[in-house]
Amino acid sequence: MNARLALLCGALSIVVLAAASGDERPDRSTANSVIGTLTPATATQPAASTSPGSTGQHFGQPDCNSQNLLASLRPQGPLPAPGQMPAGSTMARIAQRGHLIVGILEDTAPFAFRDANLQPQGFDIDIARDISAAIFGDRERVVFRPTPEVDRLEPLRSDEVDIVVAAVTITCQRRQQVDFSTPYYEAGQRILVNRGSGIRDLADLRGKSVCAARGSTSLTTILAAPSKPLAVGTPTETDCLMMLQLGEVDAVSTDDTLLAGMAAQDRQTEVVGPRLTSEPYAIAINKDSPDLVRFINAVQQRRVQDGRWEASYQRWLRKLGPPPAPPTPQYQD
Amino acid sequence: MPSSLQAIQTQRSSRVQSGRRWRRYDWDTTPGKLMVAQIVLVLVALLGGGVGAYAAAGQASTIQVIGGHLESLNADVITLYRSLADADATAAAGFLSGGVEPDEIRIRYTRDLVSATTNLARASTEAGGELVTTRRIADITAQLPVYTGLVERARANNRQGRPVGVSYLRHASDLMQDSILPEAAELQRRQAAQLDAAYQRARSVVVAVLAIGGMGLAGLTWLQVFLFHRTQRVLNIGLAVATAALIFAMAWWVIVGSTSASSLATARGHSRSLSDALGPAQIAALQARAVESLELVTRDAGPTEPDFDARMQILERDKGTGGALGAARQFTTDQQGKSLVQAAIDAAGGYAAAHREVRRLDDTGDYIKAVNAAINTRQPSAATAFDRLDSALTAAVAHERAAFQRDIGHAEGWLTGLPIGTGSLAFVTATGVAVGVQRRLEEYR
Repeated sequence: MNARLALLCGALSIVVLAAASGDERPDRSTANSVIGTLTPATATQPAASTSPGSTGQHFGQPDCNSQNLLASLRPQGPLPAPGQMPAGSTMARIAQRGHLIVGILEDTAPFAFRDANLQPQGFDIDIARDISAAIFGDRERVVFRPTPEVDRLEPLRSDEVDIVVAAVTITCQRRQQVDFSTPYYEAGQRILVNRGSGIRDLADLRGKSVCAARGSTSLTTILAAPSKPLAVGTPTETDCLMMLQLGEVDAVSTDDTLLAGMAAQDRQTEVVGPRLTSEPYAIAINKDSPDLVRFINAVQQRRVQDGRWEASYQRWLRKLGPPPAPPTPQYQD
Repeated sequence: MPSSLQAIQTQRSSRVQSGRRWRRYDWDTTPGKLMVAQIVLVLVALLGGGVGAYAAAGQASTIQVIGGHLESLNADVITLYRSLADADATAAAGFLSGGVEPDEIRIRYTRDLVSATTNLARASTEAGGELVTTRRIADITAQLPVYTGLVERARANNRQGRPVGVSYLRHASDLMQDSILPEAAELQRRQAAQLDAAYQRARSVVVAVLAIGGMGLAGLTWLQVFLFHRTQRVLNIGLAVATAALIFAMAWWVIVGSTSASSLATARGHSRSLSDALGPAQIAALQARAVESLELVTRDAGPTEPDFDARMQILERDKGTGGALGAARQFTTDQQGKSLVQAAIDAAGGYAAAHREVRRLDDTGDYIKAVNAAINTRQPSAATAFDRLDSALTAAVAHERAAFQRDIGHAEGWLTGLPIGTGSLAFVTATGVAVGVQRRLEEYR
């Protein structure tokens, strides 16, 4: 912690969490951002206990063992033809409105970002457009709304969007607030460092600083690490790449997918170490629209069958290696 | 002062010549009273003249300091403040045009930085050794290259299509908005306070000189009434000349004091309008524009609509009666100034409406149209509405600055000849008193 970091912390309203000593250093807050103050107590709870927006609050420990976290509602019958949504269904309501409203992050290449022509692009965006195609027969009937990274599910809870497709990991905590589709990708948390830094995994980070987005599951994992690195929370994932480039942190730790996006922006960085976690990404949907969950699961099944899932992977995620098998859907009724 | 010296010599010689004669000069006796009055009044006249001449010269130099040094430092600091805010708003707007920034945006950003660094250097020179000001200037000077470095990294990354550019831009903007601009605001507040203190000094000096003059006039009146009762002679030429000179001097001071003071008061109104109303209005407008751009550039984090509203509330509220522009309306006295401020208020309304359209488009998911409505300069947009607001504010600032220079010139002009005039008239008064009283004293020998 030098003066420059203090300046950065102030300017970006970054949270520095010292898991080792237990001293919190939430620096001065700016008017437009909320500082999350994770305490080491909450941080050392099981990883899933901290979800977006839960900072400082203690939810009852959900019972995750009684159900399969990844199981989602089974599709019912074949998909209805585009433009012919069942009367009274959530899809019919969306069709009547004329567009699907999707909450996205615009800062998480290659999952979602705006290209040079300001058009949203990425692996997540392809999914949203395919759902639009299934409802309207038109991939372009989507209204994208940016969702705050620190609490990606917030627009869903306040009914501002129909679905959130924003690299959201299924967690116990989040499942209590929203419904999830079947996973569409399985990521895992890894570490991004400067080339030649000598850091190979989490154990090498003792006494070093590691950056992750505030409110992310990645931050929780860092805080729970036995090597007790200094956790630095930023407003967005990409801010972490900046912090690494500015020499303010020693490493960035988040999902390998996002790290690959960062490594692509800066050849002096590399992704190292084994997967620390398993992060199943799924589409978040309002709890009172089970028909939409089933519909989207059917759309996902078809995407895998007709090869569009793989095409999208080839387009955006090729750098992560040859396409893996798509996550196997698990259903409940 | 030959006559007063003569008087003192007379006094001395009489004391030497005989103790009995000296007794006649006792306070109880008429000559004694005359002599004391003579000495006191000559001293009051000389003191008044000295103080008056010094005060007049001091007043002239205070006004020169206000019109020259302090005001130009103030203007530099306001310009610095504005340039910094403008650079930030411009950098953010540049991001909205995609990888390649339009020429006018690049040029405007460069011009802002040149202006900021020039004004920093000038303010630093003008601040002299003033510690707090110098330290703040040093703080800003140290942070500015950090800011520009971040903006350059933001631009370089953006040009290559790397999303991390947005992080650099937001970080740069946070540094500007949360750290550099508050420093500049403090600097500006301090300059405004110093200017105001100088105005206070300029006003109190007139009162002090008139108080001494009043004492002299009272003494002279008493002396003449006393002599009239003792000698039954109405006119003592020496004292009459002294009285006339004193009254003339005081009248000069009253007229000059009040005219100069009223010019000074209007000048103060103009400089307060600049530092307390129009200056803050320019900053608030630029900050609002920066928020508008950042809302479109940094989507997942960064400033939001309440931040925009807060800036606009500072700029203008309650149909132009509140906020900085409402204050500007209060400060402005002349018709042209009032209509310029009104134009700015109207332009602020126009910009707020254009911004609402940008938000409406963005909120309904029409991001590209929203960006177009924010930056397109070829059709009515938030960009053109903002330019209109910015020009209206610049015109009002130019008007107030010219009016200030004119009034400070008047205030200074009225003081021409006052120091030497006060000194000469005081000398005439002292001589008149000395000669006039000496004549009477000689009659007692």
